[in-house]
Amino acid sequence: MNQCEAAKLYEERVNRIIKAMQLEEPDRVPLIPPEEGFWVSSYAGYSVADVTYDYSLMAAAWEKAFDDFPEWDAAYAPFCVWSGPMFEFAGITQFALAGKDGSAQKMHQWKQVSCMSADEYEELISDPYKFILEKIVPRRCRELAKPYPVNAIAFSKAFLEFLNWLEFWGKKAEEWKNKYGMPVLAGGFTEAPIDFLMDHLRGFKELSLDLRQLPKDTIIRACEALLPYMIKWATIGSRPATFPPIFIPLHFAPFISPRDFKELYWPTFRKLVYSLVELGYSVIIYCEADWTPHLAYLKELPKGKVIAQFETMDMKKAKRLVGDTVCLMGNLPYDLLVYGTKEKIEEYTKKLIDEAGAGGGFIMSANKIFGENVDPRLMRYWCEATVKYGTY
Amino acid sequence: MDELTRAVVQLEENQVIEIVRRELKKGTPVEDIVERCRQGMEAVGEKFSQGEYYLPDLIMAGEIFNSILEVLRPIMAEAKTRKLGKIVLATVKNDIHDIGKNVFKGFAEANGFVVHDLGVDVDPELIVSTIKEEKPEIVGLSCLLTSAFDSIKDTIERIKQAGVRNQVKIIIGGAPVSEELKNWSGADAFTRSAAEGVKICKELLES
Ligand code: B12
Repeated sequence: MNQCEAAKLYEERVNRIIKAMQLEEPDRVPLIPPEEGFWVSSYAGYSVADVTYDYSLMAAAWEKAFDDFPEWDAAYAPFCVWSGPMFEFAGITQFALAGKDGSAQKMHQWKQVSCMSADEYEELISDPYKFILEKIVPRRCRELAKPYPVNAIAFSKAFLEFLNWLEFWGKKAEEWKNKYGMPVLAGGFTEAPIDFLMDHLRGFKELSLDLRQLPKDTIIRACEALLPYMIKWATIGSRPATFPPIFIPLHFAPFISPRDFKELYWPTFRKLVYSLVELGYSVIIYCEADWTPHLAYLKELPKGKVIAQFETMDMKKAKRLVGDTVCLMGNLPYDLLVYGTKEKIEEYTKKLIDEAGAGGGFIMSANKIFGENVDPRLMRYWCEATVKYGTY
Repeated sequence: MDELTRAVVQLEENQVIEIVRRELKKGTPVEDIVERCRQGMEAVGEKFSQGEYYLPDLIMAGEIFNSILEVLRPIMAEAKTRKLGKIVLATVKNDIHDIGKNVFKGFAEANGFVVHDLGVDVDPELIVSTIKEEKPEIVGLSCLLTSAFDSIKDTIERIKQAGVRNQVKIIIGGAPVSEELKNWSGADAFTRSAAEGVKICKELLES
């Protein structure tokens, strides 16, 4: 493909996505598989360990997929296999890296340990930055916990590697635009304040118990204290734009009661989205697990600025309830792409488009981030079915 | 409803412990106390299934059960409490997630099962040898990542090869499990909820 063709293709794809995001009808339903690098690497014949340590192999794997599946309208989150060297310099203890840690051969895995205790809330609230830097980072990074100057050297190495990694992916995005006409969907990354508290500080079980054992006010104040940092996290290294949007995976909401959601989850998450939109960003939120109980809240989000990706959701219901506010994205069952048949894939793809595609405002995707076992033949059928039934 | 049972249902930890201590002093048999708590736990599961309680409540119930055990442990040894059955539980090879598994474990124990927990990233061979030693009625396999689907199938294959498949019922649990995965892997049951899992285990004992 020459640069001129690539530029045209890039524009076509970005417009398709922007139109859908703005709740209009594009030329066809955009197709963006929820791929973070695990599947493309196995498809190209590399192990996850290979691509975690050699970014150029990771990029090559993506490029093979771009060649073979030109129906894709964007690379969802190409850098989410993260950087092995950076994690090693810092001595991260909470992530089991695929291939390095014996217990995690195929996908990186998170060790579910709490690294903040319940009596540290006030310290977190009074100065989140200081608390995280001085208390949490050493607890989670072996090398950074060592005495000076070992920690300082480790920090410099990890930070330099981080810059390397950022620069690599920045350049790749430019190169893919010019060579493959392929946009990268995730323009930046952040989390809802309470998800940050759950994922990185307290842990799932511990925060669950906090909900019952601590004053609600403590958790609310913690979320409010974290909010400015969540905004900063999104805006570091990304420019405000309609495309690409900021990626916000959502974690804790499906597991808590409507009342806890209303009081503890929603207010600071809503503020996060509005703050980003006011700064000129758009967002893609990934409503992981089952968001049915909280679905109606999405109606409060700014119109035409949000893509809402779903894992478990009746898309017909979502279209009816919130389809005039957020662009729906999802949710072909992962199982179908592993054990399915051509007929079953066609049928489900058509069903999704019928249910959620009318009038635009819909992006075709799958329910779960891809692991290594998606069947390439079934991927091909899915691409063809999306074009066949998704052309307006 | 019995006062102790009600305190359990309402997840009032302090009150539960207070009543348990008082009953012990009164000389109430341990099996009696445990049975009343168990009824409370069953009601908690019911409330969860009906959408009145949420996952944090189940986790809380598991915690309360642990606190009760701590109070009872010194006298537990000689008491013969009714046990429903034994479960060998593991997160399968190549998966190290255990929040879900532990929630299920806590809740199954609270409901009267003996759970033999093998931890995470468990080798199929260890599961097979544990089945031979512990003779459980049920094997519970947990997984959170689709990458571990093969491990579920491998584990069940190994259980078959070892000739002990017909001695146990196998239930798979975790967010990505489904009817298709159950059939493909050769398990007997599947669930994406700890409370439902306990209910299914009780049914499996009878089937
Ligand atoms: C929270 C979360 C995280 C957090 C974890 C934080 C923490 N402190 O633990 C963080 C942010 C660290 C994280 C990281 C990642 N995650 Co994540 N994460 C989730 C999420 C939203 C919830 C998982 C969870 O904690 N559930 C709570 C527990 C209690 O639920 P459960 O395990 O299902 O257990 C219940 C039942 O299933 C049942 N049960 C469980 N076991 C058993 C066993 C038996 C016998 C029985 C009867 C019942 C039973 O009982 C439990 C209670 O009801 C899921 C989405 C989902 N749908 O699950 C994604 C998810 C697991 N993550 C995913 C991914 C891809 C990742 C990353 C690789 C992303 C990345 N590129 O870095 C990393 C690393 C992988 C990992 N998770 O280790 C994918 C996995 C996709 C796949 N193909 O498998 C998921 C499914 C998201 C998605 N929709 O695609 N994640």
